[in-house]
Amino acid sequence: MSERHDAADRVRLERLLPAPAEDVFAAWTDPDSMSRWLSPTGRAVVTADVRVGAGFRVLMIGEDTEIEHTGEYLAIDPPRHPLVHVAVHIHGASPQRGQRDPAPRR
Amino acid sequence: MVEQLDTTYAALAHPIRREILETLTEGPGRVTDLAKPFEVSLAAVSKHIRVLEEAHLVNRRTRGREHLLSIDVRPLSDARSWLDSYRAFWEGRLDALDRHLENGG
Repeated sequence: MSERHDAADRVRLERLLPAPAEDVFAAWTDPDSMSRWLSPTGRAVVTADVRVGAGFRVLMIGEDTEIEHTGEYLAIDPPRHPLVHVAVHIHGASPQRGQRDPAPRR
Repeated sequence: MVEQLDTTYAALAHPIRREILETLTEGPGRVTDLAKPFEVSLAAVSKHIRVLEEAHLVNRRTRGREHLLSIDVRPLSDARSWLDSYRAFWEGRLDALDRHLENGG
């Protein structure tokens, strides 16, 4: 869970999205939907296990690089909670360089 | 660069180490003085200082029997830049999410 990590190595973002709750929920839990916005290249392979404690994996595919991100579902409560609480862990190097880095990093 | 980031974050992942760094931003300090505010032993604080040295976050200079520490901000600003670029990346993703939802999801 995110509590065991100190703030020095975390980035927290919040965004108010003017859209129906179900759409936002699907955007974070339906692989088809996820593949359409999660990758900056527009190409991605996404798998998702929609349960608390499980998560998703997105492989962002570029010209000559592939960067994997995994996310963990911390809370799932449709339809009351329109937002799935997600913590994203990064495997792979910085988003600008796209080199492979075998060590997982949070 | 990647390994240094891991080392930097590991070094920052303890409140005593963060507090030592915070104190050092005001200027160099002696190990004995830096250890004073903490309830743990001098030996324990010295171990934390060693972690900070190995992460290149502090430099040690000896002046006779005194050990003077000073902060080196370069690893911190590297880590900061990395975090900033990562934040920018995810802001971009959220922009894409916004557009995706606008187009009907």
